[in-house]
Amino acid sequence: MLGLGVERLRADMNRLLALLFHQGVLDEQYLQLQQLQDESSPNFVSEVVNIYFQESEKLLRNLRFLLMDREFSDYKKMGVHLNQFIGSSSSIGAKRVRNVCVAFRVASEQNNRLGCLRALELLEHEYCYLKNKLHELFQFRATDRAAKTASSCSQVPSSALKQSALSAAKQKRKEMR
Amino acid sequence: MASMSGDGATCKSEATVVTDHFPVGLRVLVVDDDVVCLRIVEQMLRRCKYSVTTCTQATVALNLLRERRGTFDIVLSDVHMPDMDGFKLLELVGLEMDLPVIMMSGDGRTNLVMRGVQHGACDYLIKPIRDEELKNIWQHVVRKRYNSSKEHECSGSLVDNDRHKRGSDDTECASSVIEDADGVLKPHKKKRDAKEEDDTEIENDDPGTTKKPRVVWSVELHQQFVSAVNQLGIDKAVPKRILELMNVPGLTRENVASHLQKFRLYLKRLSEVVQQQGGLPSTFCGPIEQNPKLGSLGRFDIQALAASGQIPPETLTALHAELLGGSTSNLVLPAVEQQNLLLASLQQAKCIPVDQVVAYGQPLMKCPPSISNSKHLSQAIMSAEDVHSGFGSWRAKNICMVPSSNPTWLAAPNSNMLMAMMQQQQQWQKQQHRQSGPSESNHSINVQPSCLVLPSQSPVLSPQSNNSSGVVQVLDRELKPECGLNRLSSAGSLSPSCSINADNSVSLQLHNSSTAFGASRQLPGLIPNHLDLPVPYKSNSSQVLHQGRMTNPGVGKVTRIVVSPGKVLSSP
Repeated sequence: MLGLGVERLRADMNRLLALLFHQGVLDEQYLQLQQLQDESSPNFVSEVVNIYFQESEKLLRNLRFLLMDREFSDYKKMGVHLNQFIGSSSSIGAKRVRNVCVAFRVASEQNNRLGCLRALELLEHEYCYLKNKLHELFQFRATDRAAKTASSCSQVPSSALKQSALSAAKQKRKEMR
Repeated sequence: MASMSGDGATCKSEATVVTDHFPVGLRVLVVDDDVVCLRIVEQMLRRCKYSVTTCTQATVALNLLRERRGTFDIVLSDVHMPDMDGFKLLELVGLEMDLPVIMMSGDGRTNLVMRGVQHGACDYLIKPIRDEELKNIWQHVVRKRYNSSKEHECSGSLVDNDRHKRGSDDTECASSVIEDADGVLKPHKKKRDAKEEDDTEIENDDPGTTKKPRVVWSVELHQQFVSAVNQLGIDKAVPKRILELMNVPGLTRENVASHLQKFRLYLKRLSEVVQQQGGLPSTFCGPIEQNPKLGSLGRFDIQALAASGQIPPETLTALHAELLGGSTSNLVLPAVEQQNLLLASLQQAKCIPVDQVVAYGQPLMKCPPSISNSKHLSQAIMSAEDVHSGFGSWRAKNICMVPSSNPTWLAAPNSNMLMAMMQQQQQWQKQQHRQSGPSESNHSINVQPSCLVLPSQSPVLSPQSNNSSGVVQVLDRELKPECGLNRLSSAGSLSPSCSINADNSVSLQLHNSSTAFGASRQLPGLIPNHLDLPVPYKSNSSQVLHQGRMTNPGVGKVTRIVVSPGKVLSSP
């Protein structure tokens, strides 16, 4: 009974992951990240991804700030930001985000302001999507972990814990929709 | 972290002695302004059991490298960094510390990789970096050591000496391998080289008793040579006349002739390099800035002047002479005693080996690819600025090795030169100061011969301007986009074009490139949905994918792909 719950949790998590791969949101690099996680750095993936979020949001803000300026002409600066964005996105396996950045960079190299604006919007969309999905993933994992630690304690309360964890996860998923 | 265990390759034996655990404990310095990549690379390196240090700023990294010489085996650096161009860092590290440097970048375009090669990178990794790539970086360390020791063997003087050296120094090597604190393999190696060179000097400087055919050009000898050349004028300097002027017993015309030839080559390279590299003065303003303690900046100025591309050979010679031969009278010690003194001090200098010479001008020299010789040549001119305060200061920052492949000219006299330099340094500087009068800082020096005045270098200039120009350069070169808008008709390219399509919604049309997007079933594009297009939410992946591709009739091969990602998100 408990086992089934956990299994389902994991199945959902894996399905989400598969979806993201399928959509091209993530690629193998993300798997590399997962492999890098071990006992010495148990939270490696979420740590890196959180850093990525922070940095990316800074970059996005900068990009938007640059583009919103009517007298904007500093494409080079934009290129610099984009390079960083490309690098970090590809490093965590955020494939779609990276691709949009590359397109963005091309537009900026051609001083195509309109193209840049469009690319920026697209980028923001992709980024938001990625962020949400990754959060979902992490929630799965957190729940999973909670369930694991719960099961390592005594039986009776653990079942309750697991149940609540499961329902919490379900709730969250519903919310996300 | 695994304890440091280098390989025994620095022991100058033909076969590299490799400890069992190599390359465990390889000491890596990673520099990248992108914290995400930094963290990932760090983790990967840790997994390889390397000892990792990370930095987000190039300037900090440089300081680290300078302050803790010999504590790193290899450097990984990003290409695009805000405070300093990665290539500049690459040059500086290669020249000052002679460490292998690997470049990393999200941009793998050929021109950038080419630049990496030209600036001396051992390798160029494209992000995302995989751990397999990082596992093998140790090969660059070993390779470099092999190559250096090969150079030594070729240049190497006297077999007996070598053997003797090897014998005594192998033990040193062994102990250095084991030690962690002083575990500086390279410096030991270099220390040994210095001793070796000194030994040859000792024997050769005594012309009468020398059995060795080769004349080693010691500092004084070279100074005499240069002042002779200066007197005669570089164009008119004939070996015979130089010989007469120098009036050194035992020196033959042939010796002088070959030395003159090398000297001419050196000058030529100086001016060549100068022309090739614009804006170089700023390069070593960087170092200046970072090492304010450095007193005299004679070297900088010379190199700066050289860099300005305005120095005719005569001037260079003259400068060279000034530099070296300012006051030969200073060196009253007979050659042999001087050697002994030097050796003694060498042995005292623990961490930093003796013949590490400041190489400020080296970025100048290094830029053209095949420049191993000129590097040494330039190093002869450069001496340790901070040596002037005494041997203690030899531990200070800007000293680096002369891996000499050109022994007769430089390697041998190096250690002597240091001593000489040290003493002349103050001399010359005093002279200059007197001459330059009101100059407030060490930065400005009047050069007599050509009356070229070097304005005081503002430290602010260099990294910034350099960086921006570096960035500009890079970006300019990027103007050849891999996925060019120009190539609208080529299906294989990825390019954005923005247009208002018939739906009055803005979309980014992306050429679908299978390489860029992976499998063709992937959906690369997304139409921002805050407009009138309704997008159903499907949690089921198959449905999402099969939304299909709509070709825009207006544009040939453009493929617009609608993706319903699961949620309609409004722009933040």
